Amino acid sequence: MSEFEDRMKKLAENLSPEAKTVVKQVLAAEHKRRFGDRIKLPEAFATAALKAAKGLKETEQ
Amino acid sequence: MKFLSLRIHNWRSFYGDHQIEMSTDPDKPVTLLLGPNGSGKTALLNAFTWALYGSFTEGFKLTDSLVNFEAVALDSAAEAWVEVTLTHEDDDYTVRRSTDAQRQLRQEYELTVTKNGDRAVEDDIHRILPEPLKDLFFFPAETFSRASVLDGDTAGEGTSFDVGKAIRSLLSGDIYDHASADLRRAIESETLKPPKNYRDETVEKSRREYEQSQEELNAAEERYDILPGLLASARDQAAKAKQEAERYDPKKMQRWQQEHDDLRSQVQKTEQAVARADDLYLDLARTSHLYFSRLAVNTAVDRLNAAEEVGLMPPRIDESVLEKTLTTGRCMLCLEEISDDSRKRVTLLRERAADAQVAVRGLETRSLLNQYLDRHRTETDRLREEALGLANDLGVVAPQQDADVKMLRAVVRSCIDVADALLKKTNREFEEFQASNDVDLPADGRSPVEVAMVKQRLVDTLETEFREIDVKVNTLKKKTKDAFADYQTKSGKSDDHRLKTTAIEILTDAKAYFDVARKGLEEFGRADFQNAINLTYADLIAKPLEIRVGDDFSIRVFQTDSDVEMPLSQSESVLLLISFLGAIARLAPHYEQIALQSQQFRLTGGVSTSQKSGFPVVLDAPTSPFDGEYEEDVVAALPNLLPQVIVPVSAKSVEVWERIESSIGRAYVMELTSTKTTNRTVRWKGKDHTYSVEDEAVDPARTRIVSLS
Repeated sequence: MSEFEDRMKKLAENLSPEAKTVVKQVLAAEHKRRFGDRIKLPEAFATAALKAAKGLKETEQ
Repeated sequence: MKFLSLRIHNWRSFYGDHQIEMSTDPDKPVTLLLGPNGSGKTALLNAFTWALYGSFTEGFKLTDSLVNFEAVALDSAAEAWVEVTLTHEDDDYTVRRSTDAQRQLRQEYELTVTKNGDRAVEDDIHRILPEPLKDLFFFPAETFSRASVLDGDTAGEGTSFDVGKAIRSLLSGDIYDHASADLRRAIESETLKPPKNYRDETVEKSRREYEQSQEELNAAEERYDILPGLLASARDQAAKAKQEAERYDPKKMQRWQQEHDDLRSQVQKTEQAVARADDLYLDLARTSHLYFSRLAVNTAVDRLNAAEEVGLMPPRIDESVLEKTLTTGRCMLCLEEISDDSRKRVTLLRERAADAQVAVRGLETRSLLNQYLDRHRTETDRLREEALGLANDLGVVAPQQDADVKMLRAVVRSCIDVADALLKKTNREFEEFQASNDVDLPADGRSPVEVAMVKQRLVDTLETEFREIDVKVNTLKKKTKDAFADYQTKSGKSDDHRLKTTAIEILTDAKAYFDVARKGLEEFGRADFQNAINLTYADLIAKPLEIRVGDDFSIRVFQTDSDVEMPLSQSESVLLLISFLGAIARLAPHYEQIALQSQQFRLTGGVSTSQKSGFPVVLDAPTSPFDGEYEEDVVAALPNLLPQVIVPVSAKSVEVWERIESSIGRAYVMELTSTKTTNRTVRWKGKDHTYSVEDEAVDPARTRIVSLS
């Protein structure tokens, strides 16, 4: 495993499941809109994070 | 990727239709275009950039006059277009951009892109040739003559390109840049603002503090992103200004430069001394346990030695013998009855005598403790030597030969004080020097020397900021994290509020992931770039030199395996610049594959490049600033650079280019007709070809592309 890969793997392992989900969603959205209009993405990401937070709350309950 | 052809219609000085077929033969990688001054070599370069990106190289003038004047005079609705065809991974692409005499004034155009004959989009081209690379793959002569890397005597200078951004874009790293920026905006979005129905001044205060920290952090991160580009641009301008100043008043400029460099070098040396002293102090702090443990360990070893001397380790008398003596009441050696006194002594001995296993453990322990003491001695010796070196360099009283860790700390403490005072002094002297030559707002007609000083001052300021920005960002990150934790705790009473702060935490963690990815792409991309530029330079010039690429992508040349920096001749400097371009062009196809396979983390940092694969570059007049001596070296080097190199150049030294004729797959002449030129021919492969024609009826100039093959 390369040093870079090792570094990112360790970082990913320390991410919460909710943060991992959001990272995957962000990556997919940014790939799709690489050359396009990204103006709506920040709100979409905020909503996704809120949804993940609600899911976390329900799990804890 | 290779360019196949360039077709132009009424483009600038080129009236009518013209076509250039590029050489795609890897054994003949050079496509040569010979043209006199004013024939449109730079216009040809910009035909590429306009077609592919809708933009131009720096310094290209009259960008709203693209349609040939002659064509417009005949037809006010005359059109100009440029069509580039290229091939990439078995796919053929065509990009055609067109405008007319009216639309060009509004910078309007039409764009058509095809892939294998089917309609495609501009993004398909930009995935292959990302825009941040425009100035690398289409390199104008002006940049050659201005490029700060030509100033071979000055260390640490780069070019005016944001190389980090260029490398990240090849790896699709711009996606991570966008992700980081969009997550930052997501954190600040209305969706995550506090619920409207809460009223708690304590929570509100902590939220404001958090948001303020976050704003400061955002500003610092944005500054971090743009600083390399600003620094590169400032260096380029400073180099240009310095060249002007040297022409204007060389002696004054030389004196000022010498003093400036000396003072700056002093500042850098003292900064290094401070860092060295701080690091050594930390080292000593980490090893301070050695001082305390040494005493305990020595005592333990002494006790074990004593135990051995008195026969307890290993025991001279086995425990069982002592036990039997007590049981029988008789000495097991002489069989005499033992007195009460003797009984007491034997009992005491039995209590203290170790059995064989314990004795072995005692021996092992003593051995380990002795090894520890050896390591301690070695480590202390090392620290003593470092402290001695530092003290000598700073003129501080040297530590004694047997100084322990505690004494060394005192010496290093003095070194830190001296180094800090020295740094303050050298900084003050440097600032006073700069202030004494300062001109706040030079008016028009100002001295080029003053301009050069002002430009250099900006470079110095930006370099200092660049060195400190990492620490600043990390400090603000910690501050923001603490402020957020406080906000999160205080807002926990409201469910709605708590959900929002949890969402902010999730987004912050996600952003941190992309920030680390961005940094990694740059860090490991820099490693690939350093390897590539060393290989490329070695292909061009056989000298034992090592090129090192700094954190800011500045380029410095050293003797191999040494810290001795090498001054470069003018020719070597230009070859370095060409190597720089070649390195990026060679990395490009590898990085493109890495990005396609989403293997950025796995493969970046371990890429090997060679002359056999690389993107093409168009080098506009690469030898124009130089005389014949240097031109030969540069021309001889070009075929070894990349699989395809397109070179518009003047024919003033066509004989030099004829020497690499076997590497030239296609050759053209850009025949200029104008009132301001003379009738000239150029000799190529034994035949004369028209080079320029004087014609009073032609105004403005007209250029015709003629094949020499």
